[in-house]
Amino acid sequence: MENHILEAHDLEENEGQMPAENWFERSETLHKLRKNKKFPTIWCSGCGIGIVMGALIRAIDHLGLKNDDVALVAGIGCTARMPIYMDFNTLHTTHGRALAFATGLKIARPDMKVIAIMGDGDALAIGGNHFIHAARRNMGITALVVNNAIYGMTGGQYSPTTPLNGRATTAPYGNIEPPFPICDLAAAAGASYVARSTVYHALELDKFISEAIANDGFSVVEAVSYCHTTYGRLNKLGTAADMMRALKDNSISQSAYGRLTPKDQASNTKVLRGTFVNIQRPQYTTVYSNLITRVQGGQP
Amino acid sequence: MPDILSQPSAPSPGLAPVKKGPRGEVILYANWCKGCRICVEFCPPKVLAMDPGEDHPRVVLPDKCTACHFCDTHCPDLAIVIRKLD
Amino acid sequence: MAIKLMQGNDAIGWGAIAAGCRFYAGYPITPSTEVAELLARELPKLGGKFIQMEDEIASMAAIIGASVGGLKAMTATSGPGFSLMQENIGYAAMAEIPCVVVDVQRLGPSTGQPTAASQGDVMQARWGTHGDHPIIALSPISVRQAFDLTVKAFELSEKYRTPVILLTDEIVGHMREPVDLPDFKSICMPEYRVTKKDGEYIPYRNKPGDVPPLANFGVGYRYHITGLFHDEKGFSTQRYDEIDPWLERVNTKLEKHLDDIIMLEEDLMPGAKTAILSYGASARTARHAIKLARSQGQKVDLMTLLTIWPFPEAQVEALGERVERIIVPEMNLGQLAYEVERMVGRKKVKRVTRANGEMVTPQMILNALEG
Repeated sequence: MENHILEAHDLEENEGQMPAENWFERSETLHKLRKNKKFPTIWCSGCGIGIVMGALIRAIDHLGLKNDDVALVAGIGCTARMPIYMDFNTLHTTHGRALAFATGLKIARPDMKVIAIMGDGDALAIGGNHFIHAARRNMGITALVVNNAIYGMTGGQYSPTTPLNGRATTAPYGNIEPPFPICDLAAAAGASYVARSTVYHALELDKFISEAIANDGFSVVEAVSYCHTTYGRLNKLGTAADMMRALKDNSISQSAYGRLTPKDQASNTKVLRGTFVNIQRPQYTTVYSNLITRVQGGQP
Repeated sequence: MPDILSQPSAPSPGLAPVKKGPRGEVILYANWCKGCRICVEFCPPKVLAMDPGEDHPRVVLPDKCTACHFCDTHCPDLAIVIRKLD
Repeated sequence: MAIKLMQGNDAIGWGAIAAGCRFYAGYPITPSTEVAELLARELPKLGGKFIQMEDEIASMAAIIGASVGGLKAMTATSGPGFSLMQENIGYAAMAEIPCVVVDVQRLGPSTGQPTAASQGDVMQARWGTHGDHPIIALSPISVRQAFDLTVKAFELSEKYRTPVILLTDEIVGHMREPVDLPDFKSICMPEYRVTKKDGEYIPYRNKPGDVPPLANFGVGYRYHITGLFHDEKGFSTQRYDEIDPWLERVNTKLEKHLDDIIMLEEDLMPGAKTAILSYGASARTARHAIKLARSQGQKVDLMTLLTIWPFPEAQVEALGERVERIIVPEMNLGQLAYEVERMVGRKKVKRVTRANGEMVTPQMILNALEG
């Protein structure tokens, strides 16, 4: 086939349009996008959030879930704009509160797969309290946290995961606050599945997201990304492709880390990818269901 | 590094010729592509190319596609799909 | 049911159960905690779900999430918690999600006096959350009314796709009165939601009718709910031709059905030139004061508001035409009186206020009647 480029039509100002020639049918991933939503997506050219969206859809597809059985609950921010493009039950809530809304939804519909989609600021700053309690309860929710270490949507303010000394619009002289280790936090608070990968390692993301959703309890997947538009520009880190390359060069798999000498491990600064927690713990809605049975007089 | 893929291998006497050609079919939906160049810069056999000022990549070496799927799993806009060819 | 001595807060809990509430999420706060404790005990018996969330913000979020998931949901709090809930109350108003928020008012501002009563959240109930939005707030004056108005709160929230505030106070919440509650099986309300997939669904259609039905998540319509301004399909928009119709529909959806929403009690006597207008715990004081005044030969009308918001403008205006003076006793510095003054003119309104945690006394009202 010689014609690899489907015709580019002129887009109306401020409008997207429905794609021609059955683009949605080309792959299972595209199939799960909303056909009544306007594309292209609102994210900047090269933003990693779109990559995470692809990984999420492939994971849901791999698990064979029915679209009606999936609910996406998002907070506020660039990452939280993800659900709008996907053909599931989608709830776009208030900043930092996705996990609290998701808790109510999961308790009302324990049979649904509830996935909370949040950025680093949304989940760990304003949402920090809900994050640790959802983990403590082992609430049956998958928390997909896209960590680009900045508040992107509002123009580049520092977040609880911005590296020390990094520049941001509200840290013009360099960030003096040490960042949160998201995965350690999640593990300490009680999450039963915790994993981290990067948008360079998209297929590994697919796998972790799949496992996270399949885990009955509270799962956390940290998808390390980049914001070349704000953080990248303020810290002179180059284009999206440059920052993608940096993720490749500055991350290390758990197995490779395990082979380092203790001295090298102690001085490691690369992003550690892998599954850190994968345990069986009673999941909240199951425990409450047993409570109901007990209270109603049956055998728990 | 020499592009060994572009040199035809001489068939050994007595052996059938090795099947050549692309292992994947590249389709790009230009209206969704925002020209971020991730696919261009990371494609191992350099199937795609994009000059400064162009809106979206061109498929310049379609026969070299190995269906590694790097581009369609890393396109932030889901604007490129690789179909595996038999 | 048999006659029982019951506390107001418990009556609220029973009212929720009778209305079909099967989800409660809340955070303990004096003087509302009894509502949570009753529901923690009773909901699991009925297969309902109770959870104590980590704070009031999460509680409000959880009841919205549960409502979207198909359960009638409620939370209960007092002033400081009510303040925390405002952002998500606004979310429920914007996304038009039914839910009931009980505010058992205590003395504020701030921590105030947790065990003392007040009616200081009246304006907050109307405007506590940012932006132009409608709200319903109901205020019981007795334990039986606490039950009845809670049931009504659920019905109105489902029918008009709006959060409804049950604006009560520590006195009604903690008082004990004998009540003969109706058999819960006799309480039924229509199903206003879409519970089965059948044809096309437009979650925020502006016509026909003022309130498009809510489809529960998982029913088969995979649509989008957001707190951003949205079009009829629920997707965010910045177009005026999509925002304006929404503003028009949502900000008049209650106005157009006031006969269904406004509840009040009138005790009018011919020849009365003065009226007392009250609500909540202060209405008990007013009742007592009226008895005393009338026994002294005074001709005084009494109007007791059960619906505080939307404010019963027509009825209060009509009262203003009957009488020369309206006395408004309340346990705040005149929050409802503002509205009365707006309807009948400041000259006609005499405020009788008390904001230190003590009830307005009958003598204070009698003094106002004389002066």
